[in-house]
Amino acid sequence: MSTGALRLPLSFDPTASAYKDWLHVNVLDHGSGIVGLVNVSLHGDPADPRSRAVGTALLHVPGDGWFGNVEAVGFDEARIDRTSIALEHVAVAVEADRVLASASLPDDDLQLDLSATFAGPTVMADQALPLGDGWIAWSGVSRLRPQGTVRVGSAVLDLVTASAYHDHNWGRWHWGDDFGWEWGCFLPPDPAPAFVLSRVTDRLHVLDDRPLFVAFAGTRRRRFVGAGLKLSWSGLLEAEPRRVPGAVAALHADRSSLRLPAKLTIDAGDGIDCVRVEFEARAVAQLLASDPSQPGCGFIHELVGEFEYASRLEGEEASGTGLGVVEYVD
Amino acid sequence: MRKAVGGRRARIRLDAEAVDVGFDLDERLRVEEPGGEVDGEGATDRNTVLDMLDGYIEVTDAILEGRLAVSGETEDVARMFVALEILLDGSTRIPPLQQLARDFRDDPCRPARGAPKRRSRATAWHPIGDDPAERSVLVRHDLLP
Repeated sequence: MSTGALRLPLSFDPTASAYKDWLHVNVLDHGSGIVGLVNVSLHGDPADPRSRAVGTALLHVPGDGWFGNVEAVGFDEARIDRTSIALEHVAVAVEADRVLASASLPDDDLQLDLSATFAGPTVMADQALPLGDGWIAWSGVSRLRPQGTVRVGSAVLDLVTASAYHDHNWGRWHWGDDFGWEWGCFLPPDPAPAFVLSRVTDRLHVLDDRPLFVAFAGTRRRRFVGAGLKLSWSGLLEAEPRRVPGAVAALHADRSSLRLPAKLTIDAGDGIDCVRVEFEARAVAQLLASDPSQPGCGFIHELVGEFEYASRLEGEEASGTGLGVVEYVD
Repeated sequence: MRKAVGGRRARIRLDAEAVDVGFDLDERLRVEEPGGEVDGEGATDRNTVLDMLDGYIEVTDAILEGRLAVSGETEDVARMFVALEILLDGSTRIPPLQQLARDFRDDPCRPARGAPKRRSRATAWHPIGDDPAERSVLVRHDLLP
């Protein structure tokens, strides 16, 4: 059960300049409230020296803020294998039923070593979804059982009681095109249900295309789509963003004052099963993604926070709280 | 960039180093020892550059906190910022510029990177023209009416 095989374009692929590939891990420590992400990604035609491999490791510590950073190098400076991307400071690898992630960013007070075993079913988009003038596809694992340690700021954590999530995205798009997406993972402490949201939109987040919300309870999964799924954003997030990489942030100073919603309510139901999730963001990081082959920039907002949920799945009722990460991209 | 800066020359200071930059009549970039009159001047230090590259401080914060100083006539300063913007925009698609940033960071002849210094000012909303940080800069440069 591997979700990680990279989809590098063939040499004669006319859309290779729009190539993207992304291995993504979220870590959510319920005891400390520390939430964050580790991901590695490829942007552009592998044959183009302008194309970039990017590694990101950012963790938010309640009360202390964000730690970590982004590194970007050429493809030839990264080690790219069938299911792994390793940069000097950040690496993610998918091996059979586990994900390995590491980040070594001493200047940014972050050191992470993670090995996380799949503990839930995979979820996969049925087919490639339109994204601007291109497309995106993805697969993910809703819950992983992590092992490892993280040193972030002055805190040192054993991750054995934390939760983790993994997905792999790939496709063809250019940053700056008219698209956006809303995605989120919501994890209470194991063994409670886990929830994943995925919705592709236009840049204004007005038009959407086939939103999907999946609830995972043990080895079972329940998908909610169409009229059975309602998303409501509200409030205004007042947190100050951590914006990386700094050079691109300097170019887009106009995007330093964010107007992002603070709360997301998800109501999903089909007459038999139902889920309600109320997520409230406490912090945000803005990842600025410049396209390597043409002018244009995407703004990936990583909102981290807490959520409450109530669910009835196959007759079993549950409720509780957990930690979540929501991406709001434009 | 040549069109934006025309025949202007600027002096760039980084810590104790300084160079004059400008385009020649044949439109080639010239980097020279400082000397004579220049149209504008920018000054900062190594840690501030790295803090900006690492996203710990924004250009606006650096100016307001006195970590980046730019001087000259209004139009000359505006053109310096246009040149900087072109450079930043190109840096995402020009690998040699990215290598230059890495060489600067890893330069063994320069001091090791200090601990990142985050912005110190609060970012609460203020009415236009009534930001205490902006007022402080204007006072520092004796620019208040």
